[in-house]
Amino acid sequence: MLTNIIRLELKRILGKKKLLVLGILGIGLLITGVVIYLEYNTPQRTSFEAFSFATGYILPLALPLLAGLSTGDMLAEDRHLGLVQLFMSRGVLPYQYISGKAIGSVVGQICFTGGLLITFLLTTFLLFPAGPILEYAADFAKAFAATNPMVYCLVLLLIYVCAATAFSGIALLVSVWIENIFVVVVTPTILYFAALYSLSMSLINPYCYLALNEGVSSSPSFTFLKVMGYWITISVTVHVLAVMAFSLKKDHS
Amino acid sequence: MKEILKIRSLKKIVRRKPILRDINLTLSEGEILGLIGPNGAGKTTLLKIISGSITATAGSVQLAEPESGIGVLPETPALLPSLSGFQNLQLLASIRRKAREQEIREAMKTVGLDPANRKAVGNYSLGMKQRLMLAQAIMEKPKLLLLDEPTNGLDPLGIIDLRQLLFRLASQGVGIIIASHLLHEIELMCHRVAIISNGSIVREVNLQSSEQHLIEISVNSRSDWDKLVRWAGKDNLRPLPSKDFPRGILNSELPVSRVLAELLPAGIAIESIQRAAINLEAIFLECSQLKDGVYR
Repeated sequence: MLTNIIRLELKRILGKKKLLVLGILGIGLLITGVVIYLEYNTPQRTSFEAFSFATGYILPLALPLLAGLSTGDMLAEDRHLGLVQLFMSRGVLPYQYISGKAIGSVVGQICFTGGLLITFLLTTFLLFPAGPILEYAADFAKAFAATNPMVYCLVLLLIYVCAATAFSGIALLVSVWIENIFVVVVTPTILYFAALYSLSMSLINPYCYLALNEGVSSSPSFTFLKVMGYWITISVTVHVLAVMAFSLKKDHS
Repeated sequence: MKEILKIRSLKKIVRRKPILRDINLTLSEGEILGLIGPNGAGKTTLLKIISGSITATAGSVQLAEPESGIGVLPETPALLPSLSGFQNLQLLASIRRKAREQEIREAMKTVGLDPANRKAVGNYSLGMKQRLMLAQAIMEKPKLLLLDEPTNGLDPLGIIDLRQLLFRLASQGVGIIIASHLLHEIELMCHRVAIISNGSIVREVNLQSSEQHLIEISVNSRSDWDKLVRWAGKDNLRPLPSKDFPRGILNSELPVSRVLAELLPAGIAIESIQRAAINLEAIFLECSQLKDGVYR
């Protein structure tokens, strides 16, 4: 039954036209980042640098909303439409149902954010030649980005995907209690900006981990692992909490 | 008849407020049970507990064949508006992989929908959505059907079709529970009715005439009426207001044919005689009297 539920959720989430629309919107936003990149000076304009600049400029602001809009409403939509009762009446247990949603949320974000960023990276190849990132890379990894621009861009992609799954998980967790789709999809953005303005640039401020505002004291690989670990921890925690909270709920309608 | 559903001492308390109190109910194969009660009496909560989407605070719900699943028709249609009717059912069928494409098509045809219609469900009328919901409830051939306000949005033809479909399913052994406000429809569709008020089943009424002892009878003249009173005894005959022929309700355990066979030789000219139908409305009103301006 669990396999069927997971398969069904993936089919549902990946078949949504909404993802295509949001993907086009996301590409549009990132292209805006490229336009802004053209106004900045750099010793050598390259596709990797355009990718690094545009993603670093746009995603720390837009990613929570994109993630919430794309997969954050999975449970809220079912609750709003009344579909949960139909699942339960077919013998689906609450933990099976919510596990399907959690896996759908993670895989959905891997496909959506990963697909968006890969498409954008390929788009930058049409605009600029490949080459090193000499200027617009994270402070702690400037040398690394100059010598390994492709790897640097792929690491960025992984970090954004991990962060996106965390934001989607937050929306999933919230929707265990809240049925209003609008509230659910904007909650990750509200929490993110609330943390950004209420927390100083400390160890737990999510903005630091999305904008890669890290110090230069650690080695790049250690810092990358730390950033990815931060988002993976949040992602796993919120998804597990969502599964537990929904499974323990007494009213799933 | 084999019992397919047994509910024992079921209770549901939400924020210290009792929603359901000590519900005991059984449903047999092929039986159609009506649930009636005022708004907020607990009908929908009871159906949700049976279907598994709400957990009871205490008590048990036992299904004779849990593996056959439950067909549920919720109060409001639960469908994905961007998909076609067939795609919606396909999606739900993929949960258990019990109904194949052919069975989905058959279920849609049974409720009067065209499986080839590619129109998105968001553009369906309420009646079409209700028919589609009915199709999803029956497509996996469950042994138990829970229908919450099944006539919502259906036109008169749809209601007649629904009634015939439910009788057909019942004859195949499917147990059906219908929650509705429409007493007349419940009277026509159900074998038995449970009246819920304030979270309790206050009365169960068997609508099958075999248990009824009331016969409505009208005679040709006043003298015939006097003869009838002598035959039946004053306590067993309650006169009813009548514009033409004297009319009354006879309380007798005898079948109508036997009553007729005894009255005709006694020289009583009978104008009409029939089993008196249960007045569900009167029973419902009696059970749901207003108390301080609200239903009790």
